[in-house]
Amino acid sequence: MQGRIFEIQHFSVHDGPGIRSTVFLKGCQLRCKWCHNPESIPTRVSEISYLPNRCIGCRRCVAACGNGAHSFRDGIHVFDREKCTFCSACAEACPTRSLTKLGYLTLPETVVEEVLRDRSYYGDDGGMTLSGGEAMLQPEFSAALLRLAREAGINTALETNLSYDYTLLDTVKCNTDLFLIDWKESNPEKHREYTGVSNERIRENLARLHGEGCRILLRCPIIPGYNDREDHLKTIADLTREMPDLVGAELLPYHNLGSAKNSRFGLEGLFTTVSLINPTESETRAWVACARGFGGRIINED
Amino acid sequence: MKTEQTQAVNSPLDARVKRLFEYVEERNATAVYRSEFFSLVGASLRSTLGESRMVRRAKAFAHLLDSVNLAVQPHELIGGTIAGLYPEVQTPSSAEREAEAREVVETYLRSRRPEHAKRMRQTMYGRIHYHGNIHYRDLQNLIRKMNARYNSDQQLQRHEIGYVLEKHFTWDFGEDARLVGELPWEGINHNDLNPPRLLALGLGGMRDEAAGYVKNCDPEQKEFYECALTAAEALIRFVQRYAGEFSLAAAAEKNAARSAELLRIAEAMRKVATRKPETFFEALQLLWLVYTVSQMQTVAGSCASYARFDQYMYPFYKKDIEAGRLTEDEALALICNLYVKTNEPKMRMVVSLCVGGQTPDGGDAANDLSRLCLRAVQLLRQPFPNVSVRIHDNTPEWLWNLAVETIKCGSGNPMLLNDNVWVKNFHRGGCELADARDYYNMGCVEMMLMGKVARWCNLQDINFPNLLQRVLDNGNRDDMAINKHSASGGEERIYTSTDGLSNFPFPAPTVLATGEFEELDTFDKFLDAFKRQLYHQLADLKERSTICDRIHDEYWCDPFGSLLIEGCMEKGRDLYRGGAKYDPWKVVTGLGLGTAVDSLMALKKFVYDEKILDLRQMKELLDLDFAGHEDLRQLFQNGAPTFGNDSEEVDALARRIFGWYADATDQANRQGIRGYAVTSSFSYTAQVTLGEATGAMPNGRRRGEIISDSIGPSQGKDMCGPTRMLRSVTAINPADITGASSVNLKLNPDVVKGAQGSKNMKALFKGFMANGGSQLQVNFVDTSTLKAAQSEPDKYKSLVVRVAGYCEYFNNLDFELQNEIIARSEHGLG
Repeated sequence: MQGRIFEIQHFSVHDGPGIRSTVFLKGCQLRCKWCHNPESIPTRVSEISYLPNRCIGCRRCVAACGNGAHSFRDGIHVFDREKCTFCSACAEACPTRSLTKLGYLTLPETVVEEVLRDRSYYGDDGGMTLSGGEAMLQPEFSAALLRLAREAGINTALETNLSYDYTLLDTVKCNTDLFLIDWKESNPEKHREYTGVSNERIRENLARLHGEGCRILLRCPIIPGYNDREDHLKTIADLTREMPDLVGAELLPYHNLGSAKNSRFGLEGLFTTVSLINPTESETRAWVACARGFGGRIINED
Repeated sequence: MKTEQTQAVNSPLDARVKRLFEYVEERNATAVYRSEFFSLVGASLRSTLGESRMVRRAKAFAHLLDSVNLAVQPHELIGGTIAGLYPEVQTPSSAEREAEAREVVETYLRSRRPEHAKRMRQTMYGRIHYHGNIHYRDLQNLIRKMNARYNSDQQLQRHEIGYVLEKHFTWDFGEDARLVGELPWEGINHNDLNPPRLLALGLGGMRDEAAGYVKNCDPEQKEFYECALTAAEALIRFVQRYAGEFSLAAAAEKNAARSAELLRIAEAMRKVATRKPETFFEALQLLWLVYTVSQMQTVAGSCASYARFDQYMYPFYKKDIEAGRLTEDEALALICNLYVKTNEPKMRMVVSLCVGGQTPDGGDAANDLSRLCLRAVQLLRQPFPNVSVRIHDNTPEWLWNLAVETIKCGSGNPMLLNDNVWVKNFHRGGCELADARDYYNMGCVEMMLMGKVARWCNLQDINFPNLLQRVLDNGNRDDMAINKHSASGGEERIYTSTDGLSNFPFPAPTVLATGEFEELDTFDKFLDAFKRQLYHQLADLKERSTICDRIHDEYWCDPFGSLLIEGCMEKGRDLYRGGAKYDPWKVVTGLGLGTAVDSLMALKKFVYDEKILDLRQMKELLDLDFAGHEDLRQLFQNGAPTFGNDSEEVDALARRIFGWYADATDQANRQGIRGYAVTSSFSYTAQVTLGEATGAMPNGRRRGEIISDSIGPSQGKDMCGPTRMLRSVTAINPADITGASSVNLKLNPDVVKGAQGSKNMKALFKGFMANGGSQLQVNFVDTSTLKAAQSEPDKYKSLVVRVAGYCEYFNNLDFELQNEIIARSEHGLG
């Protein structure tokens, strides 16, 4: 069985405890306006990244492309993505890495083998994290990755949005040391507005997962102007109180990477992204203080 | 982070230390100093013409110490300074300087020959221009201005301008310098001063020992012992004289508290002039004065190391603490004084200090002083001393944690050293196990054994990229500045360590033909030709070693150093002439490994596998410096796998090449040379200077650009994060890393913030050590800060960075060296 991944990032230090290797799986069912990995959203195997400032006008891509997607008009490189079939011939021909291919099909064994190369750096608590996209859109592949990592004796974490049928988790629960659950918005209507789906099923699944004794950390992206509201922070706090076995909640201040990446991958039409100014450290501290004021167990370091 | 950088001493630093810190930094800021070493030594040498070299050397040493001005500086708690030997002088206005620089460059332009462009400049950072008659910042400004004026139409390259200006703006000491060079004058350098012996015997003890030998020795050893006695007596007089100066200063001081301090210094000096030190303060005072003398008696500064300070000072510390004579805070303030004074003008060489590691019997050596030594780094954040923490299997967690927190202070200190590599390698190389356990980083990252080795002696440099070019040229290549050899031409010349390798009377290199293009029709054949060029270049190590020995035996001597280093007094032989317990480390430096490996991978892919061009065409492209073929250059640069990304194929190639180099080096040991031939992948500043003299490479590197630094990847070509980069580095066999090595890691501070960040950093370092990493040093600063510091230097006066094996203020670095650090991959983004 092969899976679609777009990157294995080593020395990941924000996706669970310790030093980790994060495997980013491709494909997502949500359309969060603040997504910072837009290239992970389409379910197809690969994306073509184009960085115009690296182009030296050598026109190798024009010759390589069988679909006429690349051309030069008045000396300027034009990439007509309508004609692109993601064959990646242009990326292979491009000498400057102005055009590159992201995403590939691979076997779980191959992925875990690469993850294990860093084993000596994982220390006591580091290991592998699955992220995306939404890893659970490829449930069998994810289950295999987690099982292989667990068998090799390293810590496993799964970052997931829980917006799917709970039974999908049946084969992964036993091999996941930590669930990183994205809690994006507490108000169901706003959740639909911001991500395309309601959060009701997510909340239900979260409670069930907690009830089964799984280790869970809530991860809450805070987006200025969207969900940096007291009622949302209060709900986050309430969740950590209602579910005493939660490791806690982590507030993740928004960072403005996604919108730039959108154009790089030609995904502007996929969904409307927001482009905001990154919050300051004091704003982040204020959110943390607010949630703590409601009795929330917030794990952010001061 | 960015705000912290602008104000280094904002910590709860003792107010007194802070005043001393500011005083020293102020003295470094703009002033120019001129050495009186040459006039003092010259006067003595003129009065001893006709006497033996060693006697003249000893007498001149004594004359230097007897006549040097002894300065007393404000604020300091331990007394003594080199400042008396280096008075401040007035310099011409900047307008005059600029006119002078223009004339120098114009003159050069008129007489310029093509080979001049291949000369390597040296003064890549402030302290190297030791006898400059201009402040380093002003020199940099002149280079910048002249570059803007003469480089615009490619008339001159920046490094040529740098070369002629650094040569020109240097003090001329005339006839005195000639006399000094003719002797020749050598002083213990690239070594330590064997502090355990100094502190155990005291100066009086060393004098008595020498006097005893003079009475009861073989006649042929008599001169050596007499000279040692002359040196010991001169040291005693020097310390006594200094005690007198401090007594006078105490009497003249109106502030009663300060007067008492000066008196305390005077009393300690008077005591340690002859008697053994008994307290921490006395030991430190003696240590400092003897290191000051060492610095005074070398021609262009000595990087004598404090070596294992936390080991030999600990008994004094413990006794004082137990007796209630000293508090921890007082000890910390004294250590801070030592550190700050190490940064005084003309003292600030790459002076190292090593903590932790193992005791000679294999136990853990970490103690309270190790802790205070690192605490002082946190408080001061100055470039010197160059501090290392030795790591072994039983290094306590508190030391690990403290090392990590200190690195996070962002001054590049401390570096980490791995006992599992160095102790093992020295022991396997023939050193006694207890001695091997006393290793330390001398200067930058040159590993030596405390108090026991004659010298760090450069034998040969190889430039891996250049070897590849030689294969392409079928051996006929001589464009590398460091391989130029002056024929001795029958004229008897005296060679000194400051001559560098290029001027030693080594045999002229011979050309080895390794095949025409047509013969190198597979990558394996090309690689074999590369290997043969490598072995060829190192084939004459034994001959070179013998030439070094002859020069040492006939010409070099240092009675002061011989008093200190173990073995010399027992054997009755000078440090340089076989006296030391261990003969010199004979060093073969290998540079630009990453650049060469990447280039070989590019050749393999594009010439041999994909055949998009043939070898001849590649050679033509390189000769053209890729002119008109930017697409191919880009392809070579981006299209082949590179070292530093945990690629098995690439890393295996690096391991093989390094293995050949280590084997060719070790061949000298198997042939039985005097001393111990070791490898050194430490590039110092050569990643820039050698790069400037190296032609275009198949990995898309243009002519004159930087080459990879030390054992690391090409700058910016490690793209898969720090664990991958470090895994590539540890793919090289640790057993082959026998003398010096350094690994630069540039970490973005944001990525390891807070307690969790510290924990992750520790896991990263521990993983590297467990994999057999030999040395690691971290630049803990983000690239945007470095760029800002380059454009607005005044706002970043206290920004310290790790360069190769040493740290320096960013402002004190040559523009190109700043660029090299900026170009290194920053790990932890995205």
